Amino acid sequence: MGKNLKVGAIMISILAVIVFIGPLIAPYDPYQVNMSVKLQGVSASHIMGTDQLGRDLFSRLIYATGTSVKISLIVVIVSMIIGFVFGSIAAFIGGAVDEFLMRIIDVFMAFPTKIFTIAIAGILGASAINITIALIITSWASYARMVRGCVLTAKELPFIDASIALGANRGYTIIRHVLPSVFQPLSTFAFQRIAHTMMAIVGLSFIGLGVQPPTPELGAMINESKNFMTTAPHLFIFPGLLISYVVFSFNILDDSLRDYWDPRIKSELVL
Amino acid sequence: MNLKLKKILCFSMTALMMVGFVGCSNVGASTKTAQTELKIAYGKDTGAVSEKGNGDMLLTIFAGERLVEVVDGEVVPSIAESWEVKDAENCISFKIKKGLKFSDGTDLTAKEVKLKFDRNIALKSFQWTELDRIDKIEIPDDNTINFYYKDGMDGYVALAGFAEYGNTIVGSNSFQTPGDPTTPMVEFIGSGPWKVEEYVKDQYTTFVPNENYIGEAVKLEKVTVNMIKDDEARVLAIQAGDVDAIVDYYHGGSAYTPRNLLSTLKEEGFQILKQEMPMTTVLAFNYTNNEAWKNIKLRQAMNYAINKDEIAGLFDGWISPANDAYFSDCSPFTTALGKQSYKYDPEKAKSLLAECGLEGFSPKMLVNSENIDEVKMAELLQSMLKESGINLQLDVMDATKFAEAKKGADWDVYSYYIGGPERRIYSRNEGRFDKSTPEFGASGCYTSESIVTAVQSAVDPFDENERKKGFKEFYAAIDAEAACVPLYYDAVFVVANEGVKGIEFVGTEPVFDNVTYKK
Repeated sequence: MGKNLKVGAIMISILAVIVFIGPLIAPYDPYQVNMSVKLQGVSASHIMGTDQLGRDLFSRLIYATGTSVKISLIVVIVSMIIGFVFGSIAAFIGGAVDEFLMRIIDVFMAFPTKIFTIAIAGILGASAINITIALIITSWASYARMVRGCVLTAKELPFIDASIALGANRGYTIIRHVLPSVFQPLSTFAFQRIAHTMMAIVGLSFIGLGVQPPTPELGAMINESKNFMTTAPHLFIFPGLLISYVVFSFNILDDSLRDYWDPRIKSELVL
Repeated sequence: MNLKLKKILCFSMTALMMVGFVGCSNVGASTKTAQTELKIAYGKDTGAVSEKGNGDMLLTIFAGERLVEVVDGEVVPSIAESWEVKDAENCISFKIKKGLKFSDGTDLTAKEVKLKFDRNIALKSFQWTELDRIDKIEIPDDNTINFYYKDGMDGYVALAGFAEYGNTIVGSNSFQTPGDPTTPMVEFIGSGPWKVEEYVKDQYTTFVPNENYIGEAVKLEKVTVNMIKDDEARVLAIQAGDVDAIVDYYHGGSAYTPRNLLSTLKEEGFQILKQEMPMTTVLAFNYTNNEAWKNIKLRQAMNYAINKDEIAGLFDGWISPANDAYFSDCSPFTTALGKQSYKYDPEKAKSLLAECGLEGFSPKMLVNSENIDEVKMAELLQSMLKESGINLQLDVMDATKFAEAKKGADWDVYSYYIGGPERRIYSRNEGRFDKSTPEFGASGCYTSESIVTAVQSAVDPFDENERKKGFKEFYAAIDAEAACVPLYYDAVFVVANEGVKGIEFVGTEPVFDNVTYKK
């Protein structure tokens, strides 16, 4: 296992602890208002200070990370499933069905993703559910195109022909032989998309189209902090650092996994 | 290089640096230069050109006048020097001052005054004016205009309605077809101290002195009002030096400097001018959509469950908590009206909820995400109400969806305001609490027969003492019925550079006629 992969795995493990166990260790209720301690700086009782309503920033960050990461994972997993289904169907059936599905995918991919997402989120209204839907709508096509390519390549491989020649049906062949060969590039692509999706969520929340108050979310927290940049800089420094950490974690893991799974690089690493 | 040459070189370099430092320093820059222009950031378009509208408040105050004005709760002369109510309150007659002119030099007579009312009646622009009750308008001579009412005028509130912004008098050349007020207004030609020099929709309006104004001449040569819609962008504009002042939209409730930025601006050296207004931000109940609100105990519980001091604390004390009467002392006849019956008492709120059988009550609050003050206040209310066992659900949405939801009555509570700018205090109170008024619509407060009777007795009588008595009854009635939760007394703010002097407030409206500016 490469050094980068180890670092990435450790960083992601820490993130997983924050997301899944964090709420249990958060010192305060992230929604608990206490106006007597509003906009306090870093202290022993509030290790990252408090916000405009006197809420503990550390506790809110723990929950906010969970919100952003969970939405990212949902978007990536659902998009991956939709993309896989459509990509596989297009590749296997081929012909008119392939043409039809590919043109639909072309339509989705023709729009600038960010603008398309903003437009959908704007139409649906600002909320966590709507932002998830908007991101899925704009994401699935790239998965589908990638899966189609992988399946088309896998279809031509000799062991697929061998499987069919031995009497295996199409469904069995897909699940037993094609899926594993698609899994590796698809999961690398998905890891890469997590950081990308995370940034999209943060961005949309920052401009008010994402997660709505009082739910803590990293982009929304930075948005709220912009009026206090000079008087309470901790309000944007900590969420900003956390966003960098999360994105860096997924990016480093994505790079390391790609290297790990790439046979050429892997052999170089071994050598 | 010999030593002498080195010494000369060092001396020359030092001298050069000294000259440079003096040039860059503030020494000698303490003398400020008088400016001839003031740049203002404002959150609305002035609407100086409009197909069906009458122009924004700021425009009508800068460049316009009305038949009458409302100051300290009293109707006072303006274009009209006097008025008389006659024919058993079926007619009101105004005497127009002689010698008035519009900014284009044309005469301002009763004929021109009539044009504006013809326009508003033709375009059904009645809001807060009582013009819908007018049967006919007559001009017996150049200086007299008579308004006849269908079923009698609605008392003092109707007279005060002539001071409404929409009733600002403009010249006949303001209209696309001169003299035809039903055609679009293509130029704002008023009779105020300023006149519009240039207008670019949604961008800026420049005002210059109106040389035909009969009052005291303004001091600056030019005021440019830049339309900057975003609240925070206006703040950035003054911080960057792009504008010299920010003026709140003094109708209140929108397009104002965020209250939580005022302290920062003050620390940065800007002047913060505050004028409290007879407007109170309240938490209103949607009793038309939810029968539960008809239970007075629930309304009282909401009143007991909210700590108004904390709300004022959220805004760094720039606004005052509505702890006393329903309106601040600047409202007509408010002083000595007594206190509200409800003080913060979460235990009392809990017991009232239990009496109603509404433990775990979960009302839905509509929140406009574009108003950051409102969002923060909603979060604070949510936390506060939780202590009394009320689970306030926040439905935060953008302005468009917010307006739709509000109209569709898809809410239980939301924050808005009662009262308003001083010239609107009578009509606004009537419109919020009397179902029979056209303004009541979806924005009406909780009301009852006793409140309606009381508000009529406050806004109708021409006699000041009767109105005073009526206001006392009205305040007592809304308090007894716990018609809403008064949260804080609103205020109008002007943020200005240090060198801007002479901004005055007339009523709740900032006036720039005597402003001088040095920087």
